[in-house]
Amino acid sequence: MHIVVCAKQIPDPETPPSAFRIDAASNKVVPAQGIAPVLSQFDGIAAEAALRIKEANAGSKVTVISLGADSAAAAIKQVLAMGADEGVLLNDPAFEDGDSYTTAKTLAAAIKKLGDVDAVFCGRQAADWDMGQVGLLIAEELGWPVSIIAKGVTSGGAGLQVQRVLEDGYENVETPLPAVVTVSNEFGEPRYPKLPQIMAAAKKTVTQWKTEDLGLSAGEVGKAGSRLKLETLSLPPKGGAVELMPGDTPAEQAAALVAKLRADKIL
Amino acid sequence: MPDTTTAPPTPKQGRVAAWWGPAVGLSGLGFYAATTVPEGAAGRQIFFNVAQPWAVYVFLAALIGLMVYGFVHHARLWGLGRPTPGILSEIPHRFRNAMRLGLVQEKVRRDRYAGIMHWCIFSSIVVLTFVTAQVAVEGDTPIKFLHGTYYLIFSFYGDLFGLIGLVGVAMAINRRYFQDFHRIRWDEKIEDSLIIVGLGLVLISGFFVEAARILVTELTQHPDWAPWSFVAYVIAQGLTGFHMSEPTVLSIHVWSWWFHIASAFSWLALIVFTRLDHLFFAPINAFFLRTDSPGRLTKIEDIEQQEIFGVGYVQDFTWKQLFELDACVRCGRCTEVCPANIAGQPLSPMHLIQDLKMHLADVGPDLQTHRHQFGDAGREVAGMAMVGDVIKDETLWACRTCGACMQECPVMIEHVPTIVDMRRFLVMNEARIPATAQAALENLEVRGHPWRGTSLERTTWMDGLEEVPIFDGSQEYLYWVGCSGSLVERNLPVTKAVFRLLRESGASFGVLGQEETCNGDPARRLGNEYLYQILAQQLVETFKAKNVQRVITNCPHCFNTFKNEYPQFDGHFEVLHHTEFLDGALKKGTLKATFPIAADVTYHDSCYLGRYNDQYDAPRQIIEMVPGANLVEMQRNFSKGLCCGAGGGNMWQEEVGERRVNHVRAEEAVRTGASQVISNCPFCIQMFEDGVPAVHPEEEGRMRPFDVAELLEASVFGPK
Amino acid sequence: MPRNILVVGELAGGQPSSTTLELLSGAAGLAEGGTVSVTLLGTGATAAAAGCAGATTAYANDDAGYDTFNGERWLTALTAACDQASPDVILIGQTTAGREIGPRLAHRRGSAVAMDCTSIVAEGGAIKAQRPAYGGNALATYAFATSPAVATVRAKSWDAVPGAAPSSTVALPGAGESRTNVTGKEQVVAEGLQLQDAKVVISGGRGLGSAEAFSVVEDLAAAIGKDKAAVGASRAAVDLGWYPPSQQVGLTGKVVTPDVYFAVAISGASQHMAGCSGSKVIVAINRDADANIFGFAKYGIVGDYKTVVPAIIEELKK
Repeated sequence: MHIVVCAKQIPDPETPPSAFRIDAASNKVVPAQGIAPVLSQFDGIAAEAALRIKEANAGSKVTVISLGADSAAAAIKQVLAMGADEGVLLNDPAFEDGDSYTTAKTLAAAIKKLGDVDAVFCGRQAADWDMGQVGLLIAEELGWPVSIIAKGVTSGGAGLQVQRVLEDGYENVETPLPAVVTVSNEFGEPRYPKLPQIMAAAKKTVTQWKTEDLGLSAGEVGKAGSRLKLETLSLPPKGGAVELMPGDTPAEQAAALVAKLRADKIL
Repeated sequence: MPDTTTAPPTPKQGRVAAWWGPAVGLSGLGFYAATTVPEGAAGRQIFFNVAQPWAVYVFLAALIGLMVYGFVHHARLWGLGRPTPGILSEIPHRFRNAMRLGLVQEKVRRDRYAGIMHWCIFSSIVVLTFVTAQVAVEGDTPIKFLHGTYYLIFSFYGDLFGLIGLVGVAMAINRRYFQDFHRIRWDEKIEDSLIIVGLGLVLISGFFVEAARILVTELTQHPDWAPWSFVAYVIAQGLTGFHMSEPTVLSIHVWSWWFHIASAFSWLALIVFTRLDHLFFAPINAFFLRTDSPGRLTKIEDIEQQEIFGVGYVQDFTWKQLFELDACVRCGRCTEVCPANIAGQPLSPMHLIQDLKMHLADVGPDLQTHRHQFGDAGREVAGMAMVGDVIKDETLWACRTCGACMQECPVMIEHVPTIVDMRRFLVMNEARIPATAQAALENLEVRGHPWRGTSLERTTWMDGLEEVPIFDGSQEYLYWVGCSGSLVERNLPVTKAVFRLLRESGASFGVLGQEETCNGDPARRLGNEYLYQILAQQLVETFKAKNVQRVITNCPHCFNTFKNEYPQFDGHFEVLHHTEFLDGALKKGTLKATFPIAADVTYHDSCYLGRYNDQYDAPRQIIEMVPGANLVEMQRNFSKGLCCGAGGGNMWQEEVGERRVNHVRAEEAVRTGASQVISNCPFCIQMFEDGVPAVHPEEEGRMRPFDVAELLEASVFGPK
Repeated sequence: MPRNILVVGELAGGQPSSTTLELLSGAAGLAEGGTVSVTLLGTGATAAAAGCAGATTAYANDDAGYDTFNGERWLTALTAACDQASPDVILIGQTTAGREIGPRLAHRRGSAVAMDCTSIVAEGGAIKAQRPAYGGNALATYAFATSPAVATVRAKSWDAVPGAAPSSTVALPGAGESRTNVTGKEQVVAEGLQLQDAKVVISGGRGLGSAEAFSVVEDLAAAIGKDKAAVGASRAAVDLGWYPPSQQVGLTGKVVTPDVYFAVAISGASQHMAGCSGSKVIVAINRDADANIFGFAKYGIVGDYKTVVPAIIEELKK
């Protein structure tokens, strides 16, 4: 089985709030000093899910694809170190500042170019924009079935068995191949790469594809092809200053709090 | 543990241990003097009443043969290990270690009762071996000296050390069979009884041989000589009460003699088969003991060229590591002081060493055969995995790398590097890591610090302070704040306190601010040597580029790493822990602790400042210079201090077992009745912040943890 | 400018879900004279359509084949509804179904979706969707280059208002084929009140120190009333195994919008705040006065939860 893992490099979600800045002119997050971008957490988990299926099915292959700038090669290397076989970086200035739609369209074009893909695994959402739609849109672009927010994926018979997370529990879904699956954090932590694999990954070359390699035109990718336009990106308004409960003892503070909540008629 | 970190001196025991030395020396002098004394003076017939004295040499030959066999057998197993770099460097230092730790037995004395017992037995065996050798020389060589005054002295000290040996045996029997001493029971074998009872029989039978001889010879012929052999004399006197005929006594004599000789050689043969082999292995292992700092873990050279990382198979150990497995005497001292074991967690250093020893004995011969046939020891030969089956993962993760085991080990086994070597295999080769530790390692790799999820920046602590100077190479000191000092809320006040005190002292210093990154210590202790080397190399380069010469650290872990481990990366800096600098500033008078802090405080020695770097005094002296502060020591302190529980990467692990180590240690601190527990380490403080409320749930009157710098800050600057 | 709005409704216990009603109320504000229609699928849909206050037309089908959400089956029906209603705006709840329907329906209609919006407004004739991004650290506003504008909307973004029942109900086709099949379901029922339904949510974090310490939090919930208060946990506490994942509040857990949210020993990481910032009042109880949570809280107590929480329980008894 050939599984493609889509991996995105994002600004570190654990950037301390005090170091989080937005450049209002470009509507972009200013990279915090000394804080390197990271592989989106859910994509690492998707890679883990793909690798487990690879290990359970001899002769399988995992390819990791990322759409991003040069630095995104680090995210690809990280998944290669976990055990993926090949890496493709979709790297073209024309791809920049796209929306979920153009991202999915570009990734789907790359998956078509690979040709023999049986399944695409994505994280349930990228931990920067938290939209959670690229996996679904890839499925729509390719015309494949899709199962989202998986906490478990196994292969067997003619397809995949996916355990999905619902609001009130889990459901088991059977899907034929080829298919798209998005994986959630309930799946479990991604593996820690073994050193021999880290070194092997460091030696691997990452294929780079541009717009024309994918048979696309500059007008239909990146910002130009976007359907959703980001108008403003701003810091959320801070809540009003906290009112600390007066009192020297916990009892006094508790009394003040309960009085406030009762006065506000919310308790 | 080596040179720098032995127990505080206890002079009385020192004298006791030194007694046997003069005894041997004096007898040597006597030997020389006696050869000049004319015959006819006091003396005796060697091999009196024994028809086949040459049998002794048959026994001796057999014993030597056995010993050679035993040694070759062991040596072939040790030979499976990798080379041990630097093992023959600094020979004089190593000889000193062998004398100090092997012969003078400084470590053995850390348990007073065992120290006395062991000295009695040890000195008795040494002196009596010498006594026996003199008898052999007198009897079977032309040199004749056992007569006259020296014979009398010889008789006296022979009996004296026989008696001392019996006292030792009695103490051992008492501890083992009457006191039911706890750690003796942890891994008891039949051989233990054989050794003790056997030695008792050898000594007692020796006295009977002597008593029987005295009864029929000296007692009647030279009654003034007899009392010199004072033990045998007393026994002989007692035997006179039985009114035995001379042939009966002679018969008792000859049977005792044979029994004595047979039992003595049998006992000596135990050296080959039992832990009695420590007689040789302990001093040899003391000779092999590392001569550099115990705070330094070995560097894997050319790590990218290795085919296996760390130690996963018995043949991956160095031969020294395999050798020391055989030195273990199962005394249990390591396990007794192990924080994991104290908290009921799955690690006993003694059993770890014993399990490895058994595993070596199990698979060693097959590995040898494989190596003989195919040129390498073969990873598939062993039927079970050493790391995982023989030594469980959770055992390796429970280690705090606190070094208490190594500190106590009387035969100088170095457990911590062995454990870390196996962790290296787990992490780098197998990627088997507890999830939370993995998160810390990933965080180190991605974010350059182990504190996943912190909402602080490296400069947050500077808020509210006046201009904080950034280090630019012109200042004398780099003040190294560290990840914990800047990214963990609780430690910010400590960082600020050190900063204010440094500034007040007039020191010329700067900080790196955003440019600080982890120096790699947690990665190394957690077993990711590769990540450690990357981080260390980067930082050494940064330091060099910035012309750093002197560093003051907030944290004893950073301190140890810079001081002891960065030289492995050609990073040579003068490193001070903040307590050392502040102690010096107080003594020089550039800082003055003026405001009284009226409080009973207790002091917790961090492992990496105390045991690993022998710095017990500077923090205590600071406390003593704070007016009003009254230092109340915990029972476990100085080199016997108990780890807070965070070491060895356990800050980022969930503890498995009955209790949490920090709860145990917090209990010990609370028991002093002090109102503050003072430490010098950001990890210790966090562990106390968590542990004290757990063991003392009421907020009222609860002890509070502080850093030495926080205490001093309050005394220098007064109440905030 | 009149707009036709289509609300993708969901059923809860045979009635339109509370989110559906909220969306309808929001749709009324955006329609500006256009039509508001609603779709309902599954057993009892036609009857429930009467409860869709504010919609003029309901598209419904009672086929039990819709009861268990299946993306492909629903998409076929929703595409049929769109063909008839020709909406300019499609509003969907940010639910299990909405997460899947939003992008797929938008794509099939040749347009785009803004996910997990907290506010949708018509501004200068155009629809603007606002949503948190970067784990709540930023607020993003989007416009749509294509039509229809599709948005999934977070619960409680609007208040449900009463209104007239739909005047007509149009039947949608019955459930058709799907390539994916649900073969089983495992219900994880949280005891008592569901987090999302609770008026008061009390969450514990890593600062509690142990799984046992959650009993203090549960005591407070009990003191407020088991019918009003539910207990949640931060991701840190869940990751440590102190509390079940079903009770996790945050970006990847439950998003709750109670009247009062007690954050006990929670530092206030942005990914946690994304799950509770819609609460009317946040009360922070933390030992550390500098904790991030105090930046979001209305009321705060700096102190040890071990003494503060029991004191609140005592006070509530008075």
